[in-house]
Amino acid sequence: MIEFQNVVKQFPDGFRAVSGLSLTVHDGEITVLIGPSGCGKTTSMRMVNRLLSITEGKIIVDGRDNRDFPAEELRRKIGYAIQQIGLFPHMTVLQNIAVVPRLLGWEEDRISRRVDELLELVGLEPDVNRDKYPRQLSGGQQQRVGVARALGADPPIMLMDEPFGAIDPITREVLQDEFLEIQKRISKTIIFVTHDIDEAIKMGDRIAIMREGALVQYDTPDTLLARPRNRFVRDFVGADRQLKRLGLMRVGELMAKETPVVSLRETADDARRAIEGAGVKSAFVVDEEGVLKGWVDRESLRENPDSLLDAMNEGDFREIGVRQSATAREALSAMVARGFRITPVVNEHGVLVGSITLRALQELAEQGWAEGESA
Amino acid sequence: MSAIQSQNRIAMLGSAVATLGFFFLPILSLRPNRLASGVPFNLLQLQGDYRYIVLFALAIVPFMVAFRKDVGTRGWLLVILGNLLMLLTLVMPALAGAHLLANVKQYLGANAFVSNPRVLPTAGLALGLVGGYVTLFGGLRDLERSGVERGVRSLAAWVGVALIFVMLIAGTFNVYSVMVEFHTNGAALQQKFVEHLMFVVVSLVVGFVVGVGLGLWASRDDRVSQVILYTVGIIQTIPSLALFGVLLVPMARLGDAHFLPVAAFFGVSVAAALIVGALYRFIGSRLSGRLQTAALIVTALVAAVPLVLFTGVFVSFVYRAARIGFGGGGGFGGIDNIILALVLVGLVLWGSRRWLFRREGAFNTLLRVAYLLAYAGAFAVFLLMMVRAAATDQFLGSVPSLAALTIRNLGVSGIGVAPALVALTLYSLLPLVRNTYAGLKNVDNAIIDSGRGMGMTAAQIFFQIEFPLAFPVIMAGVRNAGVALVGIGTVATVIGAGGLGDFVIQGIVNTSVDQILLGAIPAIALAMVLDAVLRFVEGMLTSPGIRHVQNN
Repeated sequence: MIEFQNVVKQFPDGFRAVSGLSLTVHDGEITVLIGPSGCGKTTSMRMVNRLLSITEGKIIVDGRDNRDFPAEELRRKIGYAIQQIGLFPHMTVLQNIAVVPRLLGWEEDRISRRVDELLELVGLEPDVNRDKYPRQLSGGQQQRVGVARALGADPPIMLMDEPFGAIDPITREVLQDEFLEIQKRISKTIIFVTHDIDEAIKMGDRIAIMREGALVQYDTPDTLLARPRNRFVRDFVGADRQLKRLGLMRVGELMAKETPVVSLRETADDARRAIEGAGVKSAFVVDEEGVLKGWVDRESLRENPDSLLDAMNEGDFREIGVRQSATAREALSAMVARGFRITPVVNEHGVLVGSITLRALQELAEQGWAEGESA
Repeated sequence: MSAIQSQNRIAMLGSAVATLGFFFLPILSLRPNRLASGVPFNLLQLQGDYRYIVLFALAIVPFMVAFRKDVGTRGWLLVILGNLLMLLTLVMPALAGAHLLANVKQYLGANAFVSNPRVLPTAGLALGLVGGYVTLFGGLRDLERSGVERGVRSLAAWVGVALIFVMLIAGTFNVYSVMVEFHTNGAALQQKFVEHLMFVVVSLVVGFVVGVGLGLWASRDDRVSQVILYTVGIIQTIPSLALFGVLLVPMARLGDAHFLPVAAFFGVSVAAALIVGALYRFIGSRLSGRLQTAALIVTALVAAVPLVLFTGVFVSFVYRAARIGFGGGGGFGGIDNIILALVLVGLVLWGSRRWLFRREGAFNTLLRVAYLLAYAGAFAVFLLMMVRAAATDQFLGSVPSLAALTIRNLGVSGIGVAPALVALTLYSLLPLVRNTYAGLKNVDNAIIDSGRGMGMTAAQIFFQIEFPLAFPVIMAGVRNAGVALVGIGTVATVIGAGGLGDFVIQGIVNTSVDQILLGAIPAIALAMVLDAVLRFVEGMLTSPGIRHVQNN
């Protein structure tokens, strides 16, 4: 746990970059510091490992004032990754990752085992990449090494200053996803600085929005989007915050599990009965394994009253369904694109697990909107 | 440079130079004796022997080859032609020279006073060599463009020189008067060469320590950097002769002084520097910009007094110790002292690593120098103990009492090697300081920041990150300084420092070109070899991760 207690940073030239910041960073979470440039987010982060001194107040790291340790010792316990990556160009990938373990005096074979483990963790083949120099790697690979290096000595805490900032948008998405996967496994306590609200929403378990050295709002992404505290936050998160909020929700959590369904082995009559019984307009068709094969509606059943197969609108589950792991935002755009009012939800094998309606999504967005306005 | 350059202009230039030399300038000069003026011979005047036509051909052909379009083949052709041209420019006239010597009377007339007649290589031959080298260089550029490996290219570059060297040893060129001079002065040449090498190396090493230190300091503090870069720039503008002269009087005075008062003065000036440095630290930041600069300059001057004193004595002492050490005169001589000195420098660096290498401001850099001087003082005391212990008859002639010990006993004097070393060290500073400064300044701040963020100490950042990254640039400065020192070192002869300059000055006095060349050719060779060795060292020690990034 990292706790900022009334932290003030004033530079020698009199500029007050941080004025009275109090904030608790919870264990195993990614806490994002965000705000316009000059808001003190990077300054705040750099005071944690004392790259900058604290003018007033204190920062508690793991229950102790961070000034109780010698600065170097403190920093070796805290992983550090920055936007420009800062890999040492004259060192190999191995040497770069081994920096902190070597500073800590690890034995060489432990270091080389750790390096291989980390390279695998970040998705780089150890045998191929261990002895390469940074300039032989692509930007994305360098960034992966940067992350591996920050994890070098398995620090419980990591500071990341726009770690994916210098990378093209497509690679950035990939790296963000990969990093979230890694974080699921390693559960580090992370302070993550960015100026990109989309990245903040995606990466953060909690987001701290800062302005002129002070904390404006500190909440989970969902709360932040649903109930921005004031106009500044509302403007900062953007006019499309409702859409962004949908981006945080998984279809699997929102879908209706009870949904009219017929098997391919059943008849058109069975289908008609199912639809009328549920009082809906359509039902989904699955095969004997439960895999989505298409759908039937009242109209198609009227035209082909005798055969389910003829009445069925056939379609591949990848085209007519959405994955349960997809975000509500993705589901919404799929439904808008396909002109569906209801869409089937499938798992990764195509098995139907539920359905979600356009109306449900709209209500969700409107509800957030109303909450936001009332706040 | 445009990628599509149809002709090899460099080779064309080389070819033109050689051709003009062969056609219009004398290639040899025949002298009836050592001092009389000679009779010049053009290549065309060498009668009855058409072998020399080969030289004309070799000079002209590269010009035509330079128009070929296939860069790879053209490169190889030019490399071969260039090497051949250099080689044969030396070999062919040697044959002709032998012929001339055998028939002196025929060429100089029966009346000439012939006693040990000599054959001198002249301007045409020199242009032939230069033309050959330029052609070779042009060819190497082609090879580089067509992607021939570096190792193969350097082999191609050196094969001609190697052959010439072999022939030199085999005696092929003994007919030239320089070689005659060499054979009569061989032992002296060897001694002067070692002297020359020694003071180049000593002043380069001391200059390296001081220059890298100053460059490091300059890179940490913008205000200081202006003072330092300006000062070393000024030194470079002083003519070397004048600098030797200027040093004459103070060094002589210093040599006369007794050790104890000097040591006391040194202690007092260190204390003064410490006090002024501390004062500046506490008051400096409260002064306005201009006053602050003035205060900084005053402080720097006060700090410079003990630094200069220490450097002067130290350099002389190191040289003296080195001479005795390498002179093989057993006892407690130079090598041990040098190793001990290195250990001490290491200890100084180790002890001061916390504040010496850190980058962030606020911490006043001047205090570092004051601390350094305090360390140097301790070092000086230790040196003294060493000298006393080493005071065998080898070193000081007798064991003087501490009160009787003069600075001259440490090797300092107004004439001789001491002022030369100080002057050479000063000259080496500009390239060393400037390159160190540039190299360190160019290290990306993000790299330093991540080093700090990972918990490296200031010294670890310097030795593991900054220095390795700045190393190629610093080494370029070392090469510059080294090559320049070999040249300037020849002037040191005027204050009795010895070295290859002795031959040059004798040659000028005697109007003997041979003697001048006897000094000049080894100096040129020394400069080239030194440059090559330093390049090799640079290549070996530079990480492959940054190699070739800053090529010149």
